[in-house]
Amino acid sequence: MAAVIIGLCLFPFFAKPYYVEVAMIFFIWIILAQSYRLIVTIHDWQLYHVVLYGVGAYTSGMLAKNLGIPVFVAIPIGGMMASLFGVAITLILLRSTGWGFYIATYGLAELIRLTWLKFRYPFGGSTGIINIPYAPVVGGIDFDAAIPYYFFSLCIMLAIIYMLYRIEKSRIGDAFKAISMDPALAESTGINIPRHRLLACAIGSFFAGIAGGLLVHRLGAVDPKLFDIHTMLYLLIWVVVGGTNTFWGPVIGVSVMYTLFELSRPLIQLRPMFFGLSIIFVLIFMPGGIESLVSKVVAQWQKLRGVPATEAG
Amino acid sequence: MNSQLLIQTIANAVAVSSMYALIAVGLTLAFGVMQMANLAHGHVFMIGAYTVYALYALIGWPFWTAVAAALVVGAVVGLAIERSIFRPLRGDVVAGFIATAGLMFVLEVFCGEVWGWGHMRNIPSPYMHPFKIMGASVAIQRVLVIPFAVVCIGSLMIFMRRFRLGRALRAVAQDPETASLQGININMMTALAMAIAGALAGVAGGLMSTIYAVTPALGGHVILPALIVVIVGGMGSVGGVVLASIIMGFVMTFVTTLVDGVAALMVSVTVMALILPIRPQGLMGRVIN
Amino acid sequence: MERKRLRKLVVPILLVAVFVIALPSVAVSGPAGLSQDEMVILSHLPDQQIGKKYPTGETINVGFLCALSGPDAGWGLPGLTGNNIWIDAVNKTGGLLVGGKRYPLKMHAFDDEANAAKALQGARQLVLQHDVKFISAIGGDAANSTAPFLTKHKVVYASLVPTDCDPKKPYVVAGGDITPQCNMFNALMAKMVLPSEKELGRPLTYALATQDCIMSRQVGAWEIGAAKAMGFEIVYEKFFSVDTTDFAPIITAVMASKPDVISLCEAWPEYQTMMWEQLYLQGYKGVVVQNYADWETNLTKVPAEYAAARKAIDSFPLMDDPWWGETSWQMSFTRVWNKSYGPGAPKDVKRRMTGIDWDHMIWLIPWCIGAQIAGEETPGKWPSNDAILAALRKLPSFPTILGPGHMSGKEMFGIDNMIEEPVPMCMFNLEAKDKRIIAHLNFEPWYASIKNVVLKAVRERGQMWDQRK
Repeated sequence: MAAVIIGLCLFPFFAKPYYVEVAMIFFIWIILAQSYRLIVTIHDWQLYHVVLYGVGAYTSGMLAKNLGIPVFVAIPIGGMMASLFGVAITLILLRSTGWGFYIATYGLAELIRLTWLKFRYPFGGSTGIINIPYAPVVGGIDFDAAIPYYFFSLCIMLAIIYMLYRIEKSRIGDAFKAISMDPALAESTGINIPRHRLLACAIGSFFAGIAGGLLVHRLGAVDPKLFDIHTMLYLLIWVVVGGTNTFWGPVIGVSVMYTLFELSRPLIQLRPMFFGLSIIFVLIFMPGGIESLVSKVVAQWQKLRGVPATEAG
Repeated sequence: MNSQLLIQTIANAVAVSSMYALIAVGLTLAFGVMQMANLAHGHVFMIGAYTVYALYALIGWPFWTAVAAALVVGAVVGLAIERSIFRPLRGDVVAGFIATAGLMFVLEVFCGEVWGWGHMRNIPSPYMHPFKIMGASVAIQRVLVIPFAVVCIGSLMIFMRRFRLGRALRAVAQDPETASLQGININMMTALAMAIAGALAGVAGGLMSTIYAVTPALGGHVILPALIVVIVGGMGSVGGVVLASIIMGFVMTFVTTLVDGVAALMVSVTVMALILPIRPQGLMGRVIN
Repeated sequence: MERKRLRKLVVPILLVAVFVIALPSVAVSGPAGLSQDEMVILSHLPDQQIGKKYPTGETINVGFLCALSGPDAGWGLPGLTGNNIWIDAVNKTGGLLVGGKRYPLKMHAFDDEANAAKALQGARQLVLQHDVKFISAIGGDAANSTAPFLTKHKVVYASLVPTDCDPKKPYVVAGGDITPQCNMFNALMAKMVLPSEKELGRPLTYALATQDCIMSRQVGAWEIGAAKAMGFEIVYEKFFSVDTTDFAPIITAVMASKPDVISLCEAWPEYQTMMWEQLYLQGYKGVVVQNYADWETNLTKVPAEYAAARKAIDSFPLMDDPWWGETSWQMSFTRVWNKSYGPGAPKDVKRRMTGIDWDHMIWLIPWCIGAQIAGEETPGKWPSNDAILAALRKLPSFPTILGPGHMSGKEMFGIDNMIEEPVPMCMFNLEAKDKRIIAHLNFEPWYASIKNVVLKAVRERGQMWDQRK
């Protein structure tokens, strides 16, 4: 674990500048995937996560550009805005389940996205907003440049992962686990399911919004196409392939799939097909995702070493 | 809005409604039988359109033969999807959902690679002249969708009422558990449902191929309004879908004419968002526990 | 006896024949299989000295940053063919001759999916990983989002639309599309083919309906300005969403405003076909103008007689239009294109040549011209982009695909970064069942006479370069 962090810290000094940019997008995907997992395990698979990422981006960008709010303040506000929307959507759809729920989340997410698309003022319409301020100079470090911003995103990502991990291990995390494993039983022990669901949605959406803030101040621009159903589907693919049973599943999923995504750029026309086929394959033949594969391998290895089998997860 | 504009808009709306009825009926039927539906349904529509392009525009078959072929191709594709995706994933709504989403990517690239990306495919209109009624002009191609939709959906409803196989289908759509207890073969029913859904989507795509811009992105454009119609009408209910497609077709056309297309989509989504918490089973669907 | 005599005759005749046929091609064909047509294409370069050897310099990288996939690929993907033809021809001579060295060219493409943020990612990759010095692009939002980065690295970004030019973006150049000039001329041409106000007893009416994208907004403002200057009353001016699939309600709404002229402005190729279909079905009887008409597709929906009756004015000429002439640059380009990308060719793209195929070359070639001229000042070194642009601005005229051009634009866009060239106006020709050039118009004098009205309209719509966010 420590080795990984040290590696990430050394990376930008040895890699080509383009890969530093790719790495920052990678961190954003990890934040999105991990925060999505939180919502998925307690509540359900929803299709609005990427749009909330967009809400964070638009909010932070517009506050920084139009009202001159400092970037480091605007980003958390973007997160809170995303959180508000996440809670609102969850409340509206509290009575929906199953397939209707999924379509409804897609519909409501599109509603938000179409609002950005339709209203030239203040959202910039189909062409989005440009000239969004970059991060400022703080304590002598110019966060406009690639490497400082890289470390900034790295720190945020690690902080978010840490927070999610602590939540997982805490009492609230136990309640979340209980709900995800057996809702009826959990309810009978007195856990208030709707309230926990809303809490999970609030937290997960907040982090999605933060990711949006990170994105928009690196790009200096935002537009509705960044947050459409294709992006959401890619997030689904990363998360499903990684698996959601263990905490690290999404990280594995993003690491593997996003690397493949960038590497397959030369075959860009065929790329969506490749990812579509791989998700179908994974769902049918490897429903636990890569993490289940990893657990199996680890279990086999431990068996070979004569270590008694431990509880999975 | 003067009377000329009103009549023209009504004509436009009727054409749109029949098209969405044709597309959404299959979707709702499949949903009723499997509690899941094919997110790539719009892409089956698109394959139907490309089939007509390949057979009629490229090879030179007569238009109606090509449309009939699109129906068959749609049915085959539907069966393939049922066998390869829905059967292994039966019961797992999430997985079915995500898998068909992945299928969207696959089909989009397939059409692009086989028939080319970029500009739309040229498909000559077999009937170029407009159909004039009460001062309004509509493409004959669009007008044809109305009797076509009536015949197809009508046949489907007769099938589900008068024929044993159809009644079995209806039984499964209304109450899967009881139906399986009665010895109805669920596998055969889901295959049948997907075949019908695929056939309807394919034939709709074939018919509309001269009206829409046939590009690999066509599937994505068509699916959201179709989903809205299914939810508003009630998942599993053919009658509900017919009613919903009329309502939503009119709403979308009028809003598009008076404001614009984005606003129309926003209004439709809002309607759906309001229906779900208030009446989750839609207009005529059955109540799901 | 006779056979021997025959042989004595035949052999020399054959020899002469072979000589006569082979000699011109030997004399004219250059190194490494350069065809005559390709040499014509290269003739725009002032100093390529084909056949003469020079030391080889490093490879110069250029970028292609457009939509290569997805629904917007129609404006981007075809552009690769034209650029490739140029680059292949240059490389066949050993490389672009600049300052006494031959520099081979290499193009790197990046798919920005017509998305501003992805365009920035692409710009970063092209510059940081491939060290490109020049980027062919479509423009619009991508021009804005990539500008800070590209300005910092001094990389020329060749947009298709001059409305992207502004002094804050010194390396954004344009001119390929000759918009908005051609759109403005549409108003003039429409006025010329319509009966006059006096005859009708009322002002002529103008409607504009096109998709809502940044290019349309900018160009539309200039076109409306020109229409107003020509005395038209604007009765409809709306931009429909790029997600529109059903054009019936839109055309219904446009026709309800009773226009004499409907302008499809920058309508994308698919949309303009759909709109033509609806205009025909709903019985529109006025004039239609637009930026780009695709008659191969349109005629599958609309009878040729209807198109001819509507005049159907646009400005994307065909490269094989007889107007240019058999020995013209345009015809040579057409032949080379068909040989590589036409039906049955090795890289058959399964479609007809469109305007986009050559649109991006309109800046790539002058950039090479500028490099040659600037290179004279710094022999042995590839000149900076500042020097290249300065060299181009000094030239009173240089060859472009559409005719002699020069750098201009300070008044309209605040900086001389646009190539101004003769504007070809086309009309639908019933006999040819396609568009034909009917005139080449000179923009600057006409603009001088109407600019006050035009600039006011552009400002009102917030589309002037100094008004942009």
